[in-house]
Amino acid sequence: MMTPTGPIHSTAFFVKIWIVLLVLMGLSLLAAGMGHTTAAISTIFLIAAVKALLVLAYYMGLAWEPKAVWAIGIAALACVVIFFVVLIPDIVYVYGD
Amino acid sequence: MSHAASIAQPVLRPSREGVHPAGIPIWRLGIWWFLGSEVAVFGGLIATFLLYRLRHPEWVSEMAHTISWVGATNTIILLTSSLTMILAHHYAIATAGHAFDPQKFIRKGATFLGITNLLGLCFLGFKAYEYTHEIGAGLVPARSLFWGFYFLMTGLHGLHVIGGLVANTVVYSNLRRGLHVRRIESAGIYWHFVDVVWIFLFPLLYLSAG
Repeated sequence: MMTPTGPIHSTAFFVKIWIVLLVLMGLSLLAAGMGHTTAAISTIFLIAAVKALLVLAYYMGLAWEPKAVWAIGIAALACVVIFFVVLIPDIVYVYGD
Repeated sequence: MSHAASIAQPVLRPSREGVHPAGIPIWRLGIWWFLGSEVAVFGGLIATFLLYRLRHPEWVSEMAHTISWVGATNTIILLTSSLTMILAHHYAIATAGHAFDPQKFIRKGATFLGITNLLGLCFLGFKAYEYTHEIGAGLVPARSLFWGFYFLMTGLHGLHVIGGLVANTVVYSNLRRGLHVRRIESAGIYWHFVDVVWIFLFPLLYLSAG
């Protein structure tokens, strides 16, 4: 059944999402136990991104919002990424190092 | 009206009061704009931390002092609070809107909102324990820039949790009286965002030390 805010899901749907989130958290703890390798760290942050997307899409209802709402978040994220990239020469690499 | 004049007329959509032309209620668009600004704040902080982390590989030894079990427990608490928050919204709005006795479901939504607040208080309790332990052990900004970032990011997040608890308390009080039921949607979207921020802070500060 649809409402102006999106389809009505059963409570079981939200509980399933919660279980998936906990399982993903467990996987990231396992990955952390693999040591300080690039693969482990990449896995941990990839899992974090998937968890965030699940919360954004199904708990915050972004999956049923107009694309204009997605544009707000993406624009803010784009600014952050540009900020990060532009500052790499100043902070990560210092002349003379 | 001439043919040319009719072409020149702008296409006017039927107006719906309180709804943005994009098809979203104005109040919900407002909360998303607010969260967009929060993405810039926390995103900027996280990006700056990542830049300095790349410059200071020796921070791995400092990060090893964060209390991982508390971080993991707090993650579970916040994820569960997101579940109780969405259930509060589900009962108060989605179910009550189609129920024979909506007040019963609105009160059920209030109950789940109360549980969300209790979980939020638990989160702050664990955070207080963590801060006490770390400050007592001398793990403070004076020791390393890492701890400056740590307390800034987790402290700012904690302030957002407190703000969410205040908002949730107001909405809870409204729900108990069956008033302003729609507000739980705004409160819920904000609370889930606080959870999303922690989803990134936890691996950043606790897990990536190895």
